[in-house]
Amino acid sequence: MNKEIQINIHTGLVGFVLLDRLTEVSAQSIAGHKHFAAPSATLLMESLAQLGASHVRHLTDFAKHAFLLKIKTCSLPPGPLPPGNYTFAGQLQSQSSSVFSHRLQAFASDTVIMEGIFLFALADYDANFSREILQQHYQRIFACLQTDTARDF
Amino acid sequence: MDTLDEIKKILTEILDIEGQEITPETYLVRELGTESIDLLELAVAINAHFHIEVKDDEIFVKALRLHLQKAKDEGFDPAKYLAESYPALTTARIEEILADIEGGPVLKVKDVQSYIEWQTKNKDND
Repeated sequence: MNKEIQINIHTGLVGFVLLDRLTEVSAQSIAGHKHFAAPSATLLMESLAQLGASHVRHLTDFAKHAFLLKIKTCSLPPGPLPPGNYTFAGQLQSQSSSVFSHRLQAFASDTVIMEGIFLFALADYDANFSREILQQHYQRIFACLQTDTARDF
Repeated sequence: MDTLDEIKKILTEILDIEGQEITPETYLVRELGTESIDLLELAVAINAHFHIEVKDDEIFVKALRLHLQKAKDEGFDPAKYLAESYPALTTARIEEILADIEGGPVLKVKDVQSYIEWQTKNKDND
């Protein structure tokens, strides 16, 4: 019997773009911020991953599917995380034709509370990762996050 | 520290194989158990360390069988076709690879070394 199973994941968030805005994008770096009502180390780590992947997509003009390959190192916050604004910064450290290594940092009130080395890989769009859907989707998110009208997705 | 020593150091760290002997003739996949994710990590480590452009397909002799099939389909000499696909490899090494292909993944430490030295030379000439 061919039975489709639907799995619902409740993140407690509207959408799953964990960045409110991208404030800086260059060939070597990217920065953004997010207001969290109930932050956690996991959410901050996902924000860092989304920041790095956004940078890779931007650098490759959204021509390929970019995904988190590995978190080589990542520190954890020293204590409980209060609600509020968090900023994120990424620096491209090295790259090959299909892998990018970023040093990513999360800040609260200008203090680094989490940082790590994240690797992102590129793959061709295919049947599982549709170019028609994903390329426009990520381009649209990236463009919106660079404007003042950034919103939830 | 020469290129080979640097490669050994990077491999030892990424693969966590402290104490294992690594020579130019060591197979990365067959002997060291390197997986594809390790190769991707190795690629960015080499870029960071040697400041050279790293093309994953070329440095790790990827898509070898695909190239050989294309050479066959299009009626090209396999060795010449591979020489164009993997410009860092010598003619002798390509012949060696063609003779060794049935044994499994052919990538050796010396192939990575050749690529680094070839790219470094290209960079210096620019």
